[in-house]
Amino acid sequence: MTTECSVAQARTNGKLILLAFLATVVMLFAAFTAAYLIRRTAEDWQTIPLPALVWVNTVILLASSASLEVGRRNCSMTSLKCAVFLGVAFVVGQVAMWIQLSTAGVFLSSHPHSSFLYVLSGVHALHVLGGVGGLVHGLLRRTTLEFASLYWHFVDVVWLYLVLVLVVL
Amino acid sequence: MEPVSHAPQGLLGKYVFSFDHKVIGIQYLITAMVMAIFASFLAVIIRMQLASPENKIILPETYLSVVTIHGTIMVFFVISLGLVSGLGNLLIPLCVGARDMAYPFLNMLSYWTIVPACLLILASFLVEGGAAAAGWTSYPPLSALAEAVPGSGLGQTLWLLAMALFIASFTMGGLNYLTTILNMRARGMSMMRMPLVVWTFLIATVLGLLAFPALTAAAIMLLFDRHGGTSFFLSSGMIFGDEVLANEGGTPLLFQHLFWFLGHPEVYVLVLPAIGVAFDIIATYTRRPLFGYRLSVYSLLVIAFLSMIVWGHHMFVTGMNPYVGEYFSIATVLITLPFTVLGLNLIASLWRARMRLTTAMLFALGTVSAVGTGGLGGLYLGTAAADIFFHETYFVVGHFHFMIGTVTFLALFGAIYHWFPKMFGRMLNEKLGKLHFWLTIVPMFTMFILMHFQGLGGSLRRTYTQIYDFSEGGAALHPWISGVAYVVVGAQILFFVNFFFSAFAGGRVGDNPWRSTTLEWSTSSPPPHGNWEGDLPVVERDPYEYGEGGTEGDFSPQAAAQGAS
Repeated sequence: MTTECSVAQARTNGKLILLAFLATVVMLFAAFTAAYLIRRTAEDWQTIPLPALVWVNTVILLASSASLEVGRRNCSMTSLKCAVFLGVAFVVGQVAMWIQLSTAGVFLSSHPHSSFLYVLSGVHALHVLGGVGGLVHGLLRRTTLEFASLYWHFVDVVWLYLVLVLVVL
Repeated sequence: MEPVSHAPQGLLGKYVFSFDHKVIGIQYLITAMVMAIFASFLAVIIRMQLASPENKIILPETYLSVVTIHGTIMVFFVISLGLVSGLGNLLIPLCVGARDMAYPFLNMLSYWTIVPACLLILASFLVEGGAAAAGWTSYPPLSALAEAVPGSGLGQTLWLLAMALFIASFTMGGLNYLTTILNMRARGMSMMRMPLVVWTFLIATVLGLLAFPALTAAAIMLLFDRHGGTSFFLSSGMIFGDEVLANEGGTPLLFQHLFWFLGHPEVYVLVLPAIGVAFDIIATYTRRPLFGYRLSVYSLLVIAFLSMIVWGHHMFVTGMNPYVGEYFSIATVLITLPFTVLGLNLIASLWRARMRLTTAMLFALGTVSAVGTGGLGGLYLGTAAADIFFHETYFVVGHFHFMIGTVTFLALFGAIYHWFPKMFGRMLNEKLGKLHFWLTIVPMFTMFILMHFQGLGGSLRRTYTQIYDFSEGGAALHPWISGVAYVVVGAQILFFVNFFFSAFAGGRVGDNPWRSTTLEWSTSSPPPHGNWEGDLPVVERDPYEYGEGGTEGDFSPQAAAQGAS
């Protein structure tokens, strides 16, 4: 039996399933941040200042996205690998941020703000790790790189949103 | 990336770790049937306790566990597995004219994720403290404090893990459904030529994909409250034993909002495919096109949209701003409008039709009847003022057993009687089927209508015995309801016998025994690996072209060329 599924159809399938998956991730973080935004209106709310490392990490993640795009445009393997490396560096940076926080005495259960901070950045870090896996797969098999990149930029935007909600607001 | 690989060899590849959507669909169906045996057993225990509370068949705290796990299994591991995952897998590729799901491997993974979830939820009865006891809604603080009731210990953690696996499985399945329906349809199969049952699967899938993440978020936060010392859902000043708990400032209401943001759409994830099944069956056995196909599709879309923004009506008694309650009431009652359109379309489809009352048709008519009858109670519960009285009573129990119990079960049975020939190439016994129908629908309506009256009299739900004198009248009904419940549970033995006997020894049938129009009947029964020998069908017609002068007598299959009659 021959398969009628053309390459074009497979590509559209890939786009569709990825977009639908991104929609579920959007809903996940929407639920988390809705809970957060409601909680912070309570009277006992205190904002915890974050270490400056959070900005370094943000820049690292943005640089990773940029490096990925440069790599894809110029077919530069070095830039692509650099993007993966920066992605891993971001997660390591996040872990370092958690260590800094906990040595300063700010633990998961210390305060509502710290609870949300750890849980949301943790869930996000897991999504980034998934993206690193996707990127590595995309580097080995070029067909999926397009989807991995879309996902990668997506987790990037989610992080900017989280920084906006958790730190800036 | 290939939707169809070569046909699998060997038992493992064919029947266990199969990539074939038809096998996976049947795997889901049988898993749902096994889980239904457990859940029915729990229901019998509940009914025995309620019928003779003085006998103390089980401890009060065990009663809570039994109710919790009965609800959880029935909603997620029976109805959702059977109706959405089982039938959906079986029908979607066949109905849209695809060789298989878009991602067969993901499909296999989705099934094998649900199996450990089923085992976890069953195993939770065996751990210290017993199974989760906070209700299928798992409200904190009962679900958040390990000390709250015995079931709040390890049992609750297992419940959360099982739900996490369920959500992962549903998401994998849902992503597959969506991609397959949107991008794998046969040539000529436009969206408006899809059978309504496929429309309802599509809508249910989108609802599930958008709503389940809220429960994921809630479950993650609940796990941290239980094991990480956080206070997302635990308020200040809670006392356990002699000590004040350290938790501060959280609110259990937050969990309820997140839970019902999933919970209400989940009702429609289950009910809409049931209605879709009824539509398809009714068209076949009335031998007429459905009335108002397009209007039905638009109504389904409106219902789906509204179902995402009315979750608060489950929380009228737990407290909210009266204006918010007003909004939730109005939005909820608005759903009656599109539902009335659907109901009228169904009735118009039946109006003066010469019906063939096969078992499948009887179950489809039962589904429609249950939607109407059960829906009436929703008018009372959707109105905040009335709900405040009804909420903690058996009125609610009767109502939701009508909507996500009776409607869905009748549709699921109807679907199995209708599509069984396609699954196995054999027929279920019709006489046994009709007996099964009457012994199912009459007891179900009786039980749940009586529960409405118990609720009117103030009988409280979720208590192992009636604790107040004022509900004695309602309590007097309990032994009767229990008697009827034993009948309906016993009657399912007929179905099980019929199912497994007929799967191996039922009468053989042709490819299209019901003379139906939709694509799944254009291939052999059971269909080969890849669904169609040779080329895929090309769709030329609308889904329900019944009536004299068709290409095949009184109908024209969707793939029959135009002008061929």
